[in-house]
Order: sequence, then C-alpha cells, then structure tokens
Amino acid sequence: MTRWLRITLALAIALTGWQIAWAAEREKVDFGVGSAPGASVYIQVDLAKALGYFAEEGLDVNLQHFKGGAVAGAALVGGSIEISANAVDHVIKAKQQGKELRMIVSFTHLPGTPLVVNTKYRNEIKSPKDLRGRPVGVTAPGSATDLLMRYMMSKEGVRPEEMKIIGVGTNTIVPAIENDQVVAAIGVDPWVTHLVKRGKGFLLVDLRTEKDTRAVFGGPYQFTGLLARADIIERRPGMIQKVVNALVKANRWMAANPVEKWAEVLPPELVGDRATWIESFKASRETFTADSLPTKEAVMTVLRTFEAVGQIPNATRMDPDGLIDTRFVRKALERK
Amino acid sequence: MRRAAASLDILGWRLLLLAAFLLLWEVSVRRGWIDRFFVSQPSHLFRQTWDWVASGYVFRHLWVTMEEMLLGFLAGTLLGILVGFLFAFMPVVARIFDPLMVLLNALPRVVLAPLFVLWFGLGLLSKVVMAVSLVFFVVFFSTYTGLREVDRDIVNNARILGGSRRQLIQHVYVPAAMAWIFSSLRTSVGFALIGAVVGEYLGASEGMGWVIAYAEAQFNSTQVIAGLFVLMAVVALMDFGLKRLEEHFSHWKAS
Repeated sequence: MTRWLRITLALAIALTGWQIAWAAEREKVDFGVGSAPGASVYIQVDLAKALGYFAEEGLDVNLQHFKGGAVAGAALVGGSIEISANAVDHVIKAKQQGKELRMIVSFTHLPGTPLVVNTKYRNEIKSPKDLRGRPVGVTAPGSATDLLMRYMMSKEGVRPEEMKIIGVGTNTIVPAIENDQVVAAIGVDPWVTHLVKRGKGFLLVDLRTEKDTRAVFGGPYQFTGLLARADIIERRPGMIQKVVNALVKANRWMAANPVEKWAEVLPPELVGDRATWIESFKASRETFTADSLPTKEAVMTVLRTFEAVGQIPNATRMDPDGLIDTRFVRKALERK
Repeated sequence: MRRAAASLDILGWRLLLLAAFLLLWEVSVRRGWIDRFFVSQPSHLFRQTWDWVASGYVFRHLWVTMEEMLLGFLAGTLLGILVGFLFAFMPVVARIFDPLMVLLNALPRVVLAPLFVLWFGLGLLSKVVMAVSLVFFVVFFSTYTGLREVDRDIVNNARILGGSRRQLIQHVYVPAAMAWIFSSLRTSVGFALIGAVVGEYLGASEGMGWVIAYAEAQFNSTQVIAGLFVLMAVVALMDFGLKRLEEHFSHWKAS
C-alpha cells in the first residue's frame, strides 16, 4: 500500500516538475487579432499556429480575437496585448495621437477587401458614386475598411455628408447584406465569397486584385501585418524576433503551397465549406506578401488616402520609414 | 436673505471644486504625470467642443440622437403609463403578467442591442426600440406603484361622496400617481439617451454614438470625452426642465 502511495507521489511530483519546466520554456505572448478567426487578411496567424510555427520558436501564443481592427489597435496602444495582427492604419492614427507603433511584418499589400453589392441592386449600382445617400457597410466606423469606402466614394465626387457608412463587423457582413440593412459593403473574405457564391451579392470593385487596386489607388496599398509598440520592440527584441520568424515562415509556406493545402492544414471549423473557402483564397492570392516586407511605397499610398478623405490632414508629411520596421523580417529571411 | 446667501455659498463651493478638478487635470497632463493619450486635457476639450459648435458638426449629430431619444422617451413613457394603469385597474391582468414583466425587466437590454439591430434594421427604429425598452420599465413600475399607494381613505371618501369611476381616476388616482410618474421621468431621460447612444454605437452612420465610436477608432480621446460632455450637458439641461415641470405639478397636487 505505502509502495503504491510512494509511486503515485513520485509520479505526481515528476509531472508537476515537468509542467513547470514546460511552462518556463515557452515564452508567453499576448497576441491580438483585429477580426473574427479565419479572416483572409490575417490567415498567416491561423496558419502559423496550425503548422506549429509558434511552438517551434518556443512561444506560448495567447491569441485574442477582436471585433475589429480598431478595438485591437486600442488594446495594443493601451498595453493589454503586446502585438497585434492589424492594418497599418492604426500605426498612422496612433502616430497622429503621439503614440509610436510599428508594422514589422507585412501580410497583405493589397486591401484584399472587395466592395460587394446586394444582387438586388445590380441595375442601379454601377460604380461607387451610385452609393450616394444609401446605407453601406464597413467593418467598423473609422476602421481601415471605412477609409477605403470613403476614399472610393469621395474619388467619384460623393461628399462626406452624403455618405451613410455603418459598421457591420467582419463575419456579420453576411446577414447585413442579406437582410438588406446595407445595400453594399466592404467586406473581408471568406465571408464575401460566401455571399457571391450564393447569388446574394456581386463584386463591384475587387480590391483583392492588383489591377483594381491600382485603378483606385494608383499603386500597392499596405494593408495588414504584424504591429507592435515601439517600446516593446526595444524591450523584448528576442520575443519579437521569434514571432516574426514564425510569421515569415508562414508567408513563405503560403507562397510555396497551393491553396488546397492551406485548407487541409487549418482546423475544419475555420474552413467551413471547403469549395467556397478555396475559391475565396484563390481570388485573394495576389494580396499576400510573399517576402513579408512592408514597403515605403505601399505605406505612402495609405498616407495619401488618409489625406485625401481629410481624416488626417497632413498625413503625407509623415515619414513612412518611421512607421515600419523591417529589421526583424530581414533577419528572419537571412536564416535560410 | 440668509437662505439666498447660503445657496450662493454652495454654488461657490461647487464652482471652486470644479475649477480645482479641471486645473489638477490640466496640470497633471502638462507635467506628464498622466498620459494625455488616455484622458485628453481640459484645454483641448474646450477647443474641440468649440470647433464642433463653430462648424455645426456637433448639431447635425446631436439632432439625430435627440430625435431617437425623444421618440423613445415619449413612446416608452406613454406605454409605461398605459400598462401601469392597466395593471392597477385590472388585477387579473396584473397577476397573469406580473412574472413576465419581472423577467423582461431582468433581460440585459444592452446585450440585446445587436438583436434589435437585426430585427429593426440599422436606422432610426432600432435606436428608438432600444430606448423604449429601457424607459418603459422605469415608468411602468413607478406608475403601478404610484397607483397602488393611493391613500385608501381618500378613495373611500370620494366613493361615499358619490364619485364615479371616471371621477375617481381623474381626481384621485391621476394626481396621486403624478408625483411618482414625474420622478421616474427624470430617471428615464437618462435611460432614453443611453438607449439611443448604445444603438448608435453598435451600428449607425450618424448621431453622437457614432461620433464617439468613430473618434475611438482614431484613438482620439479628446473627441471621445468631448462627445461625452456634450451628451452630459444635454441630459443636465433636460433634467433641469423636467425638475421645473415636476415642481409645477407637485404644487398643483398639494393644493
């Protein structure tokens, strides 16, 4: 009897010891994502996790999904998360308020968020200017998609007071369009493709393609990537490098593998209907940044957009080099 | 004379405390004791509010919010009074529906807001319904209580004097319930505003809730707090008006 007790006790002690060692080995990171899980523009994060790249780097990543980029951005500036998968817009807006963030990895260099219109209005809405005075959706007021919408409408002469822009979330774009709460929306994939495939919506401007993005913005448009606070970058460069390594690896893996393979790797609940998912990611392929590097040129396009809609009057006076930090990506790329 | 002097004293103290608070706020931010990013600072808030007023920006949005708030307030109040009377004069109805009222009142309406948006769309209606759902219960419970608390002796005396049911309601019940209803109105103005603003905050293209949500997305704490101050001023003003009205009515009741 006592022998069994001893063995159990020894086992218990060994087990706790092992657990403590395991926990100590892995560095904890609070990682916020600016969307519901599974968004195409943040798929690197889901893939890096599914492929075990974070664990390989010795990271214990605590993923927190936010309703939209702006909320995650606020959490990042406020310090409740340490890094965030988010649009570069938040770096610019934080800078405007005197806070220093940096984009350290690029996920997408095209917006990747198409302008989708309810099929019912196919004969009435032929260009963004036809959305004048009608309710249109973006992920959240003041978010990156809000900026895109404002720019596309104002470029065609729609004045701000004629815009009825409503926040409808990321995955909730589906009911918003179907219930006719908004006639059109800038949405995130794979949810937009769901609408299109079921005949509920059609694409007016496909910002997932270089062609349409160039036509609207005149060049590449820096969209999502990994953001971090400047002081965290200085204080914990080791942690940052590990996260960047994992995400650079995911970007590379994505460039080297067909979309069908991505669907295999990801947890089935993120993929949902496989055929739709694959179709949506095939259409998004041009948006992904294979070399992970955010570029000055693409950030400049965003600054010009901010200035054009009057959200940040002198945005182009900001130095795009002060908004991105490519040291970690370059180091990660040198490894192999 | 002495009372006037005393109330002047009180007013002086209030202003002094307010000034001290604002000064402390301003100085702490300027000295860097607290981060302006999170709390803004009074001088920026005044300038922001002035810019809004000068450009008319704030009025456009305030008008939208006020419209939703007033509609919700009126509809919620009428409904509350109506159902309150129904409950008071038809005890059977009250006994059947009492648990339902308690259950409905226990629902966290703010969490229900996204559902309201789904049911009633992203326009005016969802905000009005939100406001009604908050105002209704406050007014209903007050009306119901007010009618039940009517002095039985007065009711019986009126009956003995040959008062009809209508006369009873008109001269005994309504005046008695009035005090209760008015005190609940002052509370429900705030609730109506909460309903409208929360609705806008969740999905709208205009209104003060939208202004605040938009400013939050820009990390612009000055605009967020300035927006809150504007709303605060509106409620304070409406409360002042209702208080005058209440005094008027309680005077009428006492005589």
